[in-house]
Amino acid sequence: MYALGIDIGSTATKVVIVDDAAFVKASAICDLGAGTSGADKAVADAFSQLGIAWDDISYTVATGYGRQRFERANKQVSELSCHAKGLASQLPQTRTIIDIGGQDAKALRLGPGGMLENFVMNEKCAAGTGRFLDVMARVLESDISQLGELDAQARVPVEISSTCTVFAESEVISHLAAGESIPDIVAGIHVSVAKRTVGLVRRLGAVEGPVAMSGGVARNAGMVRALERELGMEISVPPNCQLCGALGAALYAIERAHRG
Amino acid sequence: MVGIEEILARLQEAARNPLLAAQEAKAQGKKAVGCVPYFAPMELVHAAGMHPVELWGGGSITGAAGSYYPAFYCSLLFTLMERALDGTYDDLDAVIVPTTCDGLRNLEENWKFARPEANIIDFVQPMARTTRESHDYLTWQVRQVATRLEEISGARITERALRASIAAYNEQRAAMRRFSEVAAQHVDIITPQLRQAVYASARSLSVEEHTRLVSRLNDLLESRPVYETPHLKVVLTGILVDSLPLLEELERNGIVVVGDLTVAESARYAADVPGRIDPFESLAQAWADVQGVSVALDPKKLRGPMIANLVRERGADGVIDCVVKFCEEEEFDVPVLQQQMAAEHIPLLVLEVESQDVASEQASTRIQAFAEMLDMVR
Repeated sequence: MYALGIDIGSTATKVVIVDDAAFVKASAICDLGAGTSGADKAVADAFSQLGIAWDDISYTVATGYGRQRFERANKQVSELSCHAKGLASQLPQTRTIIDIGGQDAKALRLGPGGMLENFVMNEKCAAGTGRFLDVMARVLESDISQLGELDAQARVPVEISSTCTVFAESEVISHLAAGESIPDIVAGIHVSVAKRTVGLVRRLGAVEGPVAMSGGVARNAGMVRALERELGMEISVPPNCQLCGALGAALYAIERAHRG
Repeated sequence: MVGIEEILARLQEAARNPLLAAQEAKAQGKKAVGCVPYFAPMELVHAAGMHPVELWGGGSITGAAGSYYPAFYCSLLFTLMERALDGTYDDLDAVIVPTTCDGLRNLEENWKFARPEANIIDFVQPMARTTRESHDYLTWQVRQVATRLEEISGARITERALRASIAAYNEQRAAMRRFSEVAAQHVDIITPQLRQAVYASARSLSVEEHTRLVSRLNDLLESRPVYETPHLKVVLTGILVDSLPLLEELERNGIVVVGDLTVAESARYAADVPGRIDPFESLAQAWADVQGVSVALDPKKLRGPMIANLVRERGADGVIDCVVKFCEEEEFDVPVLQQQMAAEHIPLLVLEVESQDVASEQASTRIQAFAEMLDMVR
């Protein structure tokens, strides 16, 4: 018997299936978020890896922006709790988590045993979120997956003064018109997001290490480096960082399944 | 004999229709005066024989107030201006505008400019509240407001009438302090939404009717055994928590409200207006006696200790600070409150709220995560 965790974010859907012993047996990511066919596609992908169907799933926990509307879920758990659980299962010493998702950024403080002790989230604004980076990548005619690589080539990061996505987009266009190099602009964008994110993290109080990062944006090495510089601390990124929320949901699911 | 359900139905009706009681009073030939937050001297309106109604804005945003304010502006003030512009408050014979913050000062001026026919009465409370000079100044201000109200009502505000009005409001304050305690013992009946309705109805109903209903409600609740709730218990703080989707979200996550230090709720009933020889001076003293809210200067930062005491007294699991979006006073208090709660090991959720009934997925996520966190701590 298996348990399933599904993280339906605003821009992507992630699924993790674990077995009775809480070992990950399958996972899938679909770049379609809440309100789309992303959930069905991600589940179908994960099922096909194991050759199973819904009858083989004993318990399902949904998390993420679309969690309330996933009818197959036995329970909905917030993405904060799921990211905490998923990340702590991989990096158990972690005390602070930075999670930058498609439409929000979060900072979580964990206690011993990975217990969520406190958290803060960004306000209703796209600046400092994954969506911000998407918009900037589009302006630069780059793929979001190339940003880390471009950042590594930067010499002098440009200054992006605005924290508003729309105005920052105008600034980036001005930098392009002024002939600044794309790597320098990318690095400037990362610094801008990092400053905003670290401001958010500091609202938790004194930042306790070790610090780790989850969510899809953690795959962007340039973003992680910018955050490390702003924070003055090393940041660990677990493998499959984008799956942390779904993994946490799957671990909650298997615990629930065992409880009956 | 009126029962709990009937009382709550009337209070909910008044809460959902803030101008209903004012319209009823006007139909009976009374004049009605709007009182903008915070801490307007409603006793003066009452003593002048008029019906006071508190105005907290709210409702939908058409964008009309955008001619006066930037987009990133306190939603309480923005929606007050919207309602002033769309004519919602046109039937009021006057509006008292206290000016405890820059935004309110601008509201008062903008309202006068936009609607020159409206009777706008300034009530300028001093920020430094405890000096002799500020007391003398505010007593003068109270008398100025009284004079304007006398002109509008055509009736003199006698000392005797004002003392009677202060007594009526003090009776309401006592009933509401008692309600806060009784409601915490009966969260099976007084859900977060009903609790809010009991407070919000005080803004519109006559003081006599509201006091009578709440006193009866208190009696009926006290006659029942205390309900030991298995739910998560929180104390609310902030300026106002009127968003019904937000209160529904608390209920959906099994959270009950056992107390508050909120301007629109318990804070305004915390202290009686003192009985002084000069009742005008008494009303001035009431502003100096306000404690533990962001809108009244608090150099000793007593808000945190007051909340911590309430948490202990009511056995609460945590605190939710409902910060009105783009309200500077509230934002400035957040870091202080965070440190104070952390020092007391009291879990704190800071939640951005607006004065409209808007649902927010972000707020839902925060409330659910906070509930999960409190559950784990238990």
